[in-house]
Amino acid sequence: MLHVSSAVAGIDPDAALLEACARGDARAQAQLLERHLPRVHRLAARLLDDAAEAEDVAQELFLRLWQLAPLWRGEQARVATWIHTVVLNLCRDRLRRRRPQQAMDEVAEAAFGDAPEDRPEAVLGRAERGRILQASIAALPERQREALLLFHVEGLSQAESAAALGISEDALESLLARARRSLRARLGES
Amino acid sequence: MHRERLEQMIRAYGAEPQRWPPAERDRLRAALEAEPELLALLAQESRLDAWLAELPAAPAPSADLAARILASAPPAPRFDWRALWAELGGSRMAAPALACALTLGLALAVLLPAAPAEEAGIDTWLSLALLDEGLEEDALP
Repeated sequence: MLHVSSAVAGIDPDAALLEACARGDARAQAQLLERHLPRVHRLAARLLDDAAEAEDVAQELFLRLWQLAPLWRGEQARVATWIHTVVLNLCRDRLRRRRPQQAMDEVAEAAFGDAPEDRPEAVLGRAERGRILQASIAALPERQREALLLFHVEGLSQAESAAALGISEDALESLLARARRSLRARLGES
Repeated sequence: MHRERLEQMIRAYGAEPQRWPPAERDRLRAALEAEPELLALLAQESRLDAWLAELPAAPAPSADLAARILASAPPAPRFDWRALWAELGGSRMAAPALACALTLGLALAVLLPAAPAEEAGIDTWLSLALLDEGLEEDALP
């Protein structure tokens, strides 16, 4: 069951599109895809660190969405919330099939050496800083990483991020605070 | 009270008030001006915000991904005559009703006397049509 905050309740701009999709309306299908595919792929690519696997996630997600369309009632959640939740779930499944945490730790270790000169403040290149940041985000605990990507990188609101994660806005705030603290520590900012 | 909440807010949502929860944003932004001790925290979180803004763009999907996904979308359903037939009662109800309607139609066509088909001459029709234009019947050929 999705947790839906009152802040995200109200008119869902995607509900009518989804209803048209269920009738086989090709224009509605294309429009829904245009609205959500870029973020779905981007989010999955960041969570999985693999663009090809992100495409598999996107295909699987929309296949589920087409199947869901005739049954959609919209009382439980917004379409966008459902989409974000399913992206997170599909990515979690794939990440768990990999060797958990070890892979992430390897990425993080590859990005940071132990020497002080390897720390971000000593690194000048923007690309290098980006690589280090990506590795630092990848090394965060799963829920913190998801919260950070949804809110700080994808720019979702508190209510949207909390609904996608199935948690309260207070819990989201706590996850974000911990994620930022961990990042600062890894980036040598604290 | 304000200070504690401001710290929580900055640590979770960053230094940019636009990203703070809307319900508290204005009140806490005003309170921030009275808390110069928080400037260091604000600067620290602002640096992290800048890092996050510099996160490299995620790789773009393949050019044909959208087309592949659309190919899996359900097509527009074709009209289902069988479903309609079943909806109308199938062979137990719709077939007898259709047969009755056909029989009645044929019977009416055969039994009713044909309407007297007077040969209306072309002159008659033409004169009636020309009346609207104010022409005299005499003017007709």
